[in-house]
Amino acid sequence: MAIKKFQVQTPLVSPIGIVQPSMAGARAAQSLQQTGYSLAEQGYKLAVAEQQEVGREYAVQLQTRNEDGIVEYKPIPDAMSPVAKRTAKSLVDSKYQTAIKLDLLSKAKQARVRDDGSPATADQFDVDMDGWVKKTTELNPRYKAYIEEISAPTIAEHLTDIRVKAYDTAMKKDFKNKAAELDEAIAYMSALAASDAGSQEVVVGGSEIGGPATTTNLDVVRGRIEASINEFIDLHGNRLELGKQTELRNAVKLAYHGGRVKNIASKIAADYMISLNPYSDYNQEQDLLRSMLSVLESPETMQDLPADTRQKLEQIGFTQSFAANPDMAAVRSKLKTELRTYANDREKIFNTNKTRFQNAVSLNHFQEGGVLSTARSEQLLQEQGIRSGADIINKLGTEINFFDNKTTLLEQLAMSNSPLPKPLRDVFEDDALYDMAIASGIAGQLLSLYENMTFQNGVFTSRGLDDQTIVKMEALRTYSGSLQSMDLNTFATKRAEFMRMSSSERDDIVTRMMGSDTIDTFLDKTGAKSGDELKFFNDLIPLLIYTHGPSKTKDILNQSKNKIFAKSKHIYSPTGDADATSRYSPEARYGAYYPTFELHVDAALNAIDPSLTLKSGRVKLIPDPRGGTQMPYYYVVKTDGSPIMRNNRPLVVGGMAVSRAMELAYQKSQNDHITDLRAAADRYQQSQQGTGGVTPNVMVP
Amino acid sequence: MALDIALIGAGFLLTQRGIQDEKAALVGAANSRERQNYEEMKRSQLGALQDHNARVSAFNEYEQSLILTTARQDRSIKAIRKSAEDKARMGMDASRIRSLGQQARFAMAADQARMDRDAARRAARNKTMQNFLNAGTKMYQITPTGTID
Repeated sequence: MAIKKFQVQTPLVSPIGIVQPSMAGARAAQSLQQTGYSLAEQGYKLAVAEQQEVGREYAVQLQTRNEDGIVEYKPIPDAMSPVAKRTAKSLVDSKYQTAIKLDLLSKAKQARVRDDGSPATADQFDVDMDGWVKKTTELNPRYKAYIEEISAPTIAEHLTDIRVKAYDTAMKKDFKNKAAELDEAIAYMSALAASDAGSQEVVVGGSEIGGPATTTNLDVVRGRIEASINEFIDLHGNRLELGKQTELRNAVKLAYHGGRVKNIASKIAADYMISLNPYSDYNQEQDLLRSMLSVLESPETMQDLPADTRQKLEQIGFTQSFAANPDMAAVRSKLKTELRTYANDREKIFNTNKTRFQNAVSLNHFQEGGVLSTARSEQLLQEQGIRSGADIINKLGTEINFFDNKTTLLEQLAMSNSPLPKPLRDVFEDDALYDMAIASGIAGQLLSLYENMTFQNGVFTSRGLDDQTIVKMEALRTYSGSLQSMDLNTFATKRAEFMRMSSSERDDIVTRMMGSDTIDTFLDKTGAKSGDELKFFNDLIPLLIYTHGPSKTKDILNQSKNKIFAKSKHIYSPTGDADATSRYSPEARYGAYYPTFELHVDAALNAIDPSLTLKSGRVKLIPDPRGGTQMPYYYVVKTDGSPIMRNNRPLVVGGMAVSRAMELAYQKSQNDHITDLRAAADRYQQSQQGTGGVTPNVMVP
Repeated sequence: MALDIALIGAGFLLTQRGIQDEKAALVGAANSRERQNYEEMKRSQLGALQDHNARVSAFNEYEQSLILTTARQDRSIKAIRKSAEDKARMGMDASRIRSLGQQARFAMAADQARMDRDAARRAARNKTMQNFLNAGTKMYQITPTGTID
């Protein structure tokens, strides 16, 4: 039997391992935690955003200034949440700091100027700003460091600026003062050079060579000015614009040499002006001045001048060496310009004086009854601003007015025996000017000027006007002196239209307008008897028919038949007719003022012969049509037609004397009116005082 | 504002609930592992005893068979018996050692499960504390401490 191997069986019971417990419950719980955490975070974020808004809103609404408008720190209220506080804090700090900074800048600017408007000095500014810093720090202790930090550089910057500007201002002032002093000194030197005092010799001691030196006043002054200019340029050279230094030095040269040239020119004026003849074309002063100009241009031309001219210039100090002075080179051109301007001015003065002198002679001659040539008359008128007929038209009715008390030179010339100056003739002969006068509504004034020109002592003289002009003006005069049924200017326009037609056209149109009537039909309406009357109406009727039509012409003629040629007891008639008819009948023309006229005539006659009166029938009147038909002038004649003389001149009555009487009557009426007003005012005041009323402020003329 | 605070409050409560649930789950898991380990320890002990008995029984059977088979009392039989005894003793020693190792391992795993349970409880306490602090801080940050003047 074999020995068995020792065998051991594996036990039946052995470890079977551990089952890992489930962690799902833990994970679910963790998830729940996460959810809760997220929910809380979300709520917190919302709450933070809300509180931040609260903080921002607080900062926005915050007033950084107190009631006095000064920045004053107010702490953030504790009642706010920490988040709101934190949010507000940075904004509030920024706001306060900005306000403080603005205040600082504003205060700094303000402190630069004192209450009286003057700029503050550095010390004043410093004190002012220190006060501000102290006060602001007290009110805003939280920002003490900030205030000190920002104020220091700002104040320093301003202080530097003040000091720089103060220095700059001082320098500018010095610059201005010195520049003004130099200008004054240069002007003084110019005046000195222009006077004889400048060339006076003086002795100055201690020259470099040794011993006293002889020089002139002018050179001494120039030396001092040039030394001052050097100092000025050293100190203020940077303030002078480019080229100003040279300009300044040249100004000295110009004043120096220009003054000397002026001195010479004034000697010429003093020596030669008095001998100038206003009727001579040669002007010695101009000759010498122009010669100086030529020599200044080229000094060597001195030798080419006429001997007497050269001699005269040398006598007064203008030599070739003077003109060739090299010191003059820089200002030679300006010197010439100044001298040329001076020469031109002198020439104008000479010519003006010459004209005025000549005009004075002309006027004197004319006033003494002399006759002036056309050229002299025109020169005289030119002096009064009348160069053409248009000038006369412009002045007609205003300055040139025959109805006022003033007699202008033009009126005198118009009424004199001298030939008419061209402007006066043009007014009538130039159709354009005539039309301009009519269009301007001054036909009456034009007619008055014509009448005064052409009637000399009651006799018509053409004064050199051409026939066509005379016809044109006579038609206007006739209409004006008779039945004026429409405005004179309208008539003149219509008449011009009529006159532009040919005679056949006129006949045709008038015949057509008359219809079955003839000229005689119209003449019958006038009651004209004498040849003058018939001729007057015969010329006028066609024009009246054209301008007014036949029916109205008849009415006009009928109404005016006894008005145009009115009867008068005093008008002279060669036939001895006691009741002669005339367009100038004083009874008809003066109307209500006829008694005044009669008194005036009687007063004039009384000075000659107390027994003479108008009513006596021993004197008669011859009308002078110059005064027009409104208030005619009359020559007083004896019954045989010979004039009654006063002071060797024919006695003239009417017009002005009656105007004067009218004016006196007006003044009397005005004075009476004023007296009445004063009396009424006195009575009113008395009545007010009596009743205890207040005295009114009555305007008493 | 009220909504924000309500959200934070609800979040706090939910978190708190989650912490408690987590603690319960982790404690339960630790308990389970502890129990299983103790069971395994018992089973291992039982297995080791059976193994010992089987070895002793097998050796006795082997010894009897050896005596019966040879009926000799010579040196060679003694040597064979001695060798079998040594082998049986070494086998039992090794089995005992293995059994002890298994016991130690399960005991340690059970200890760890207990530690996990304690740790889960402490963690829950900490988390609860943290949850309270978190909610308190948040509320402090966003709520006014008084009235604005």
